[in-house]
Formats: sequence, structure tokens, C-alpha cells
Amino acid sequence: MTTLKMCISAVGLAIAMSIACVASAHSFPESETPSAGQKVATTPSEVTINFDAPIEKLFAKLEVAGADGKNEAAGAPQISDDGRHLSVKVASLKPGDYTVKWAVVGIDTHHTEGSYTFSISSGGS
Amino acid sequence: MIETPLILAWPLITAQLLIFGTAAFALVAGFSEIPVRDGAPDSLVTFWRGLALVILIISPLRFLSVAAGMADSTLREVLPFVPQIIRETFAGRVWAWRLGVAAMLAIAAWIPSRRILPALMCTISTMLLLAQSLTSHAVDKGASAIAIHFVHQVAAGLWLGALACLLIGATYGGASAEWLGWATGRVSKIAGWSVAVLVVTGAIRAWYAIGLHFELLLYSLYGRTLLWKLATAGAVILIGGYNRYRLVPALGEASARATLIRNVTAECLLLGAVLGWSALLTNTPPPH
Repeated sequence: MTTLKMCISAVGLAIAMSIACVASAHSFPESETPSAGQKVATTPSEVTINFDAPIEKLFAKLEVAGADGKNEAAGAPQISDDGRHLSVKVASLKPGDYTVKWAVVGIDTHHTEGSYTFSISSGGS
Repeated sequence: MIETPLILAWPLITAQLLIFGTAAFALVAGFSEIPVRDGAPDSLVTFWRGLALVILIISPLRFLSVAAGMADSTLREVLPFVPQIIRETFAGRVWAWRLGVAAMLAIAAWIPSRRILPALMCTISTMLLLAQSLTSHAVDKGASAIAIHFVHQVAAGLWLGALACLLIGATYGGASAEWLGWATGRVSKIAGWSVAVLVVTGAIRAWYAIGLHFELLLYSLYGRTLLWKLATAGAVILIGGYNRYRLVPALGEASARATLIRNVTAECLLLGAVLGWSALLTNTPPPH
């Protein structure tokens, strides 16, 4: 009976303290704008990546490279107050394929990095 | 990328939990009041001082290692950026606070008053455990995950500390049947509660890390390390159960007392190995 009470109390304590949802660890993109693989008709004014966990501004990198490899980002990457949205302004992009490369350090101090592509159709402006 | 060396993470985690657990045991169970030879309480104070020095020495090195990992550079290269990392990153700010607490612990360990020392050691090491939680994977998931991580550490510390106190008391305070009977009763109670809390909080932490994707336990480095940790902790629980239900009722026999002390030593060493797996997990990205 004592053991049962002990287990029930421990379970109750833990459940009471746990209100978070299941999520993967470290900071990884949840969504992007433009999204990975998307073909857009109009030139985006900025590229944004939404992360599933906060990231550190000090180590955030975000590049938007065209087919020639040139970084088209206009200025340094910006991070929202909650640390989950990384964005960078881009110059007027010509039609073509673009590779977005990102590298961040989560507030848990661990690195994550990746890349994806999007393209602007020839009707873009 | 430079991973934070295990050689720094493991002794730091172990020292923090040991100092917290032994101080809590001394505080709650009145370790210094028990009628044993005078050696045990003094040995505990010496033990705390040694652990406090380990924490004081390793903490800055561990922070540098973490900073180097964040900056993706070597320890030497990151040195000029340390002030900026402290100012501009969450981990840097927590570590600045943590280093101050480590210094406070080292100073407090030399306070001559035996009456307030357990309370001081327990309070200050609790702050270190909180800092450990604030620089763990849990910080990605918010306040509830940090609380779970903290409770997990507290339970682990109480378990390890109770066993260490039993070992220190038996070694330096005499392993009489009377003393062992007194101590094992308290250690069993603490260990039982601690294991229950560890199972629940551990399950929740695993859920945070891999969700319901049980295949990741086998097919990811994080999962396999977690399984090794569980297997090692399971061995400690089995030994603890044998001690509790076979040896404790027979403490009147000298052979049972000797076996109990030997088994508690094995439990402490295995729990040290569990903490080694834990340190490895702190440096292993959970699967995504």
C-alpha cells in the first residue's frame, strides 16, 4: 500500500508539473517563407524561418544564394523577441533558383544547420 | 563542431549531485547527530570540501568548453569572445551566475560551523542543480521541462547521496549492526521515493526527447545511450532490492553487514556510471 501511494504521488507530481507538448529537441525549422521547394511568382522582400525552439541571435546565420552562389541577403539576419523567427531582407531577386542556408545555436547551446531551395518563376518581379 | 568533452561534464554532474544528496541526507536524517564514532561527520565535511573544489575548478573549464562549442571554435579561439557570450546569450548569463554559485559553495564549505554547514551545502548545491537544468536540453521546451529536469536531478542526488552517506558512515563511523540498521532504514525510504520519481520524470524526459517513436531508442545514438543508462540504473535497483529484502533483515550477522557494504559500494559505482551516461546524453542531440 505504501509503495502504491508512493508511485501514485510521484506520477501525480510529475503530471502536474508537465503541461508541455511533445516536441523534438534542439532548434529546427518548423516552417519557412518562402517554403522549401516552393515556386513563387513574386519576389519576396524577406526570407523567414520559424524554429521550434528559441535560438541565440549572436550565432544565427542566414544566407540566400542564387545560382552564382552570391549571397543576396540585404543586411544582417534578424531574430524576433521570442527567439523563434529568423529572417533576413533580400534585394529584388531575379527569376531563378535560390538556396537558403541557415545555421543557428539553440539556447540549449547546440548547433543545428541546414539548407533548402525555392525558386522564382520568370513572371516574378 | 567541438562537442563538450565528457571528461568535464561527468565529474561536474557527479560532484553537484553528490554534494546535494549527501548534504540533504545530513540535513534530513541528522547525520551529524547519530551515535557513531566521531569520524563520520568530519569525513563528510572533508568530502564536501573536496567536491566543492572539484566544482570550482571544473566549472570554468566546462563553461569554456560550452562556449567553444557554441562558437564552433577551439578553447583558445573562444577566449576573447567569452564576455560577449556571457552578455548576449542565455547560456552565457546562466553560466556567469553558475560560476558565482560555484565560488560561493567553495567558500561556504570552509565555514567552521557544523550546525549550519549541511543546510548551506544543500541550499547552494540546489542552485547549481537549477543552473544545470537551465543549461540542459530541457531549456528548449520551456518551464515545465526545466522543472521535470530539476526534479529528476533532485531525486538522483538524493538517491546517490543517501547511498554515499551510508558508505561513508559505514567506512568511517563503524559498521555496527545498530548503525547500519538505523541508516539502511532511512536510505531505503529515500531510495524508494527517489526511484519512483526518477522513473516518472525519466519517462517524461524521454517523451520530450523522442515522443512515441520507440524505434528511435534503437536507431539513434541518443536512444541507445538512454537504453544503456536505463540498463545500468536497473542493475542498481536490483542490487538495492537484494540489499533491502535479503541483507537488511540479516544485519545481525557480520557476513551480511560486510556484503551490504560491498553492495552499496557497487551501487555507488554503478550510479556513477549512470551519471556518465547522463553526461553523454547532455552532449548528444536528441533525434529529430
